[in-house]
Amino acid sequence: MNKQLEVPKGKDIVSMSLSGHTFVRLLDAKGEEIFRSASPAQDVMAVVQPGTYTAETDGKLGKYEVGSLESLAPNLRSRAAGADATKPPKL
Amino acid sequence: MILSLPANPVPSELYAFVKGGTSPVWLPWYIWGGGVYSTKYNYNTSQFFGYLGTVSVPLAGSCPVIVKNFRMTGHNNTGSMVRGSLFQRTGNLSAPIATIVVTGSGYFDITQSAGNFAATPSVHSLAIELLGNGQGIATITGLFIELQY
Repeated sequence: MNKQLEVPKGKDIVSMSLSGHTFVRLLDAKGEEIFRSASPAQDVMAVVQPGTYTAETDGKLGKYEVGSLESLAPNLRSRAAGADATKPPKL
Repeated sequence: MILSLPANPVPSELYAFVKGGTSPVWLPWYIWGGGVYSTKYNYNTSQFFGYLGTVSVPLAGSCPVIVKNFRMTGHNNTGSMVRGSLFQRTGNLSAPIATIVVTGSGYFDITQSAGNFAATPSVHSLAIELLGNGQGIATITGLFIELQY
């Protein structure tokens, strides 16, 4: 399936929710591939310039969100809330 | 041409700490404590905040080399973020030519366009900088640059 994505000014990340896929890629306005993921992960993130893109996948593309690189770290820290940050994981 | 680069480079100061030498060692990275990384080798996490290492990208010849794309493969666990940026090395680091960010859990294989960046080997030096954040374990198994001579 294909889907149009809009990345506004001030944003540089597109986070896509996928299912049943083997790949997803982003094409710019000229039709050139600027991003490809061959990962089975359900959440795939692409770093892009502001603009309009076409997302192509052989699976289902659900919602997408735009964001910025700078905002990622706090989100990760909140996801790990409750963990003891003074002790690394034992392997 | 696909240039395959050794991944998970251990900084030279850690070579000595881990192995007592400078031969390459590959390690998984244990990203921990909001950007601090540590390993089971008791690396100094307070000194190297979030920095996983830098890989040099060798270029040959004298004509411009077109950098087609940057690819990173590996495995990531929930709670950790791995970020790889392909840079042109200058006195003042400019914006990355290409950046890959991984936050999801599981195997990843991501290719990012480098925008046909024209690198002149005698002038430009390229490098990949690796950063980590969050709390979790990430392993980078491959770094690849596609070049067109």
